[in-house]
Amino acid sequence: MSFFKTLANIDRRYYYATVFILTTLLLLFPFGLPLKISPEVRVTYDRIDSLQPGDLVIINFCLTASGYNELKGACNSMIAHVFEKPGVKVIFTATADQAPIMLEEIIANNGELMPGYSDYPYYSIRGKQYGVDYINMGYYPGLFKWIAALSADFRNSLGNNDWYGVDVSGFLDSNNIMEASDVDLVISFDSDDGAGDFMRYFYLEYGTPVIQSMIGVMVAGAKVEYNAGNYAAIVPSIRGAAEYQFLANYPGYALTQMDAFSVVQFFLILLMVIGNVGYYGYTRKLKER
Amino acid sequence: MSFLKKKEFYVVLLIVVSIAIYIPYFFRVPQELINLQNWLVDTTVIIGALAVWVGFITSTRREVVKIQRRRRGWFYGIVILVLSWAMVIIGIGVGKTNVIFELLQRAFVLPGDSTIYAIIVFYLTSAGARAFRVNSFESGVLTLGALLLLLKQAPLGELLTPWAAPVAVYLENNVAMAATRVFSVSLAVGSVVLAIRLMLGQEMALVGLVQRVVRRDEEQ
Repeated sequence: MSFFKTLANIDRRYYYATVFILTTLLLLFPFGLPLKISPEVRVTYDRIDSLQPGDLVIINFCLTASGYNELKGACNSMIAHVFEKPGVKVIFTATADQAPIMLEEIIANNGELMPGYSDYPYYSIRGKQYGVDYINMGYYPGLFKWIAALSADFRNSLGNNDWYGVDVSGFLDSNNIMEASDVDLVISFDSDDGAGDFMRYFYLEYGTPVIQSMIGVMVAGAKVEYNAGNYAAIVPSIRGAAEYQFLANYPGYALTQMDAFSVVQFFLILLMVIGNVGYYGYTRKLKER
Repeated sequence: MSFLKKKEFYVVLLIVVSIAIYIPYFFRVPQELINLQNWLVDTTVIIGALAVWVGFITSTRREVVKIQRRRRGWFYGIVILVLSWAMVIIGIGVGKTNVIFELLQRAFVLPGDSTIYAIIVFYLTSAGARAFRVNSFESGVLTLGALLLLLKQAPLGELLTPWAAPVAVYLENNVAMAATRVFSVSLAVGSVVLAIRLMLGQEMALVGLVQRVVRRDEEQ
């Protein structure tokens, strides 16, 4: 009986300490478990890989700091992949107030300062120059209200000045970007439902394909939209990010986290078993008495 | 300007705005109505931005009262006031891309937000041991589903229990999907019903024009 009693009454601080130790050790010393690529991530990779010269991509950050670590791997690898495609033009936007800082970090991670410049926004990413191949429009308040406005009145809702106050109308005019229907692909990194709003106002309105990379709690809802054909592709949470890093040959943060992710999930399974053994062996019998 | 105080004015406004927003979304209408819809949608973005100020002022008033009356946690009220006003003053004073403003974001907002989210994993493990107890048929099904999904999700699970992945994928794509679609479809139908009620002037509580009557048994 005392064994079951011990199992039923393990102090939760032991659980916390074990998770902390396991995560820290496996992040420091990953052993590299094999990873299976899911069909939806493969579709995402193929979709980005099929971008043609002259295509316009909106990359939206609907991301707060809470979800950033989960999606950092997806942001880095997917954006790097888009920028590797020749002739593709990119507009960065943000629909979460914290997102511009993370967006700048991702740009800096993937690029280098252009000659003669010492600060944002003048970074060159995989040979693509700021103001020539891509622009960063920064944060727009209103989330779905702004996306609806962008769909209806693209140029006025986007504005002529970027996040840093630089006039980018030349970039928009020279690439003939006038209306929402000119957008060929939307990629949204979400801890809120930015892609859902792009889907409602861009995919349903103009047929523009939307790709979502989302945090874990949003995966169930995103899969419904993906299976219904509303999203062109999805990259679910950190697992999807790791798969994408593997596919895009961009080894990094998400792949490193997979070992800790695996082991903590198994620890969770072990706790579920321990909890039930303790419950049946001690607590339930106690109640029956 | 006395009409501004009348409830009827807001009811008419609500009906007109609802028609101008919903009708062009579902039907083909003249360009003028689409322009009006676009203008209204643009306006909501500005109103939304102003609403942040309302929230900020309300928060300041609440914290000031808390500090004055030395209510529990009043010290944290000072922290909230100092940090929030610092963000506003520095943000407006030196600009959103200024190094000091970005430093405040990087030093306080981002680490705080990340930490709170990361703490969830500890509660999750504790909940795994305490909440997933098989004490009925329903909880047994729930626990089995959770186990299968955990095995499928982790690369180690795919390696050790390859049989779990197809079952978990079936559960995700069929059972979970059916349940989630119920919510999606209900939400969509509910939105259309709400639109119709707004256009008919039947949904006044939503915009605070009338108070919802709470029955005594509902309160309890």
